[in-house]
Amino acid sequence: MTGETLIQVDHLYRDYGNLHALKDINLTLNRGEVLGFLGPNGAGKSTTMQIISGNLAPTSGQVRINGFDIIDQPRQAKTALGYLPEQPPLYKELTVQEYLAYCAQLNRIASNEIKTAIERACERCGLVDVRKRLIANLSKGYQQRVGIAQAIIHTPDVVILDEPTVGLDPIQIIEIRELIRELGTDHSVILSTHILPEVQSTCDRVIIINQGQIALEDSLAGLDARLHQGTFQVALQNTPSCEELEKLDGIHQVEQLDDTRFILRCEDSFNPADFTTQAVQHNWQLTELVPQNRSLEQIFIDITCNDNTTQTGAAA
Amino acid sequence: MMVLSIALREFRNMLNSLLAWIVLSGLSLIIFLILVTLVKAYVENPASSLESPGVTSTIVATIFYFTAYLFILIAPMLTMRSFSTEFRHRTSQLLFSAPVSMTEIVLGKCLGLYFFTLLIAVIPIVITLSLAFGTDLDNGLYMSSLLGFILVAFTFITIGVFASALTDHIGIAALGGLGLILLLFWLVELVASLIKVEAISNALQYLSVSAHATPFYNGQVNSSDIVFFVLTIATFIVLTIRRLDSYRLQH
Repeated sequence: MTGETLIQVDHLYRDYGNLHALKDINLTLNRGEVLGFLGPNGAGKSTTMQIISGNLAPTSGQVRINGFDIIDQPRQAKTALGYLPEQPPLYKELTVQEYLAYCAQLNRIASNEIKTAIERACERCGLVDVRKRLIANLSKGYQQRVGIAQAIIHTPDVVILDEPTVGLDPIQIIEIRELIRELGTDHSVILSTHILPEVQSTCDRVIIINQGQIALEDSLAGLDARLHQGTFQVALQNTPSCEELEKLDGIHQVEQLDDTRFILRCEDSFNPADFTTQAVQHNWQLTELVPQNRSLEQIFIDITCNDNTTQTGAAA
Repeated sequence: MMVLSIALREFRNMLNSLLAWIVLSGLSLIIFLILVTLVKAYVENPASSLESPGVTSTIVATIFYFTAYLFILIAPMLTMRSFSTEFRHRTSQLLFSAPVSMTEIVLGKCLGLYFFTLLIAVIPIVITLSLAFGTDLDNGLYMSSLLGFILVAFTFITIGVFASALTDHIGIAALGGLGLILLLFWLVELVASLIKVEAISNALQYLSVSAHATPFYNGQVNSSDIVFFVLTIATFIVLTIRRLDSYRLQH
């Protein structure tokens, strides 16, 4: 079953008056994948998700869920879709059980299966103890879980979660992340967030969106590779000048930290073994060579602060 | 099936809301007072009623007529929350991302409120039927008055639902509903009487809810009037569906 395309988004544009909120968004999602959707505030994450879930019409472009167009065949498309908006759509005057029963009906679950569907959703989201309580009286974390339960009650192929861990305490965040990973095994999940470790802990693939455009699309493995390349801290007792270091092959930029330490920003062709050989030849007395892991934050900032963003092909 | 689920949810929502119970109790009191007044007047001065057809006409039809009038105020109060709170609390996203069409959503909402209207209708029905202990009622006139009241009430409810779909603010939804209902109930007649061009004046006259409702209280059930009400209700249902469709385009 893996490899089957469940979400296909082609050339999505969305304008709000003169503001171009989305410009040419393309993405595909296969069964069993968790896609992280990253971006700063106002980048267009929620807009994209609202369009994919059929809550907002695109200015142009096409969204297909499980092969069905969300505008032309909304019923078939939405059957395969569970959506948790930024603000969970809860009827707070209902109990958890009443609310989930209504959601089950809305999602056309046969009346004799509703009870099992509610039980399953409650179990998965840890709601068994609170199912008889009014949603209004639940804590924010539990309300968020009810929101997730609502999105998965009809075991849809595609689950879209818009910032599911906002406002939760650390333990709840860990629990929700575990739930998302679990969902990823038999559903396809799109997860929007601006919390970067969340992506690292839950996603298979990452899309970074900035100013309405896809700035980066890569697998988590590819992203990891990006994290580990590029920057070294070196200590040279016999200190050369920065210019000398910059002349070496594969070194892009040099920054001097103190008397002996330098930060080397390198290109992909840089080879640390070559550097040690060079250091010996120049008698620089190399005492330290430490690879610096770039954090996801740095990549994120590099991409989102750089206006001339380049789109990188998916490695997945 | 789906329409029914949404309708039952809406109906239960009404039962859960304080406002609905205030409306029900207030209405009971008002109708009861009217009944007492009308019965007293009838008993004190039965002579004038010799020319008129009797108790059903002077009391029952008047009560249904008056309750329909009260619905000018009641309908917007009942409907103001139907869509505007869904927009405000963003629960509309639950409906929009579920495999439910806009038509089903609107029909469900309206149907749920029609159920509640029928529940309200029980009050004038019970109160007027109490007259049957003391006198004979004209069944035909009774039924036609009741039908007239229900058609008017359903029309107002549908207009109110449309107004509620226009905004996410319940106050504006209520005022908008009230305005639209007043406009269709008799403002069009007022405007019609001011316009000298006969064709336009007649056309506006035709749009008046009040003019189409009056025959029912006299025991006349005209198919043309029924068609008018059905068309008006259908028009506002279609307008509401269109409004929801366009909600996805803007906001």
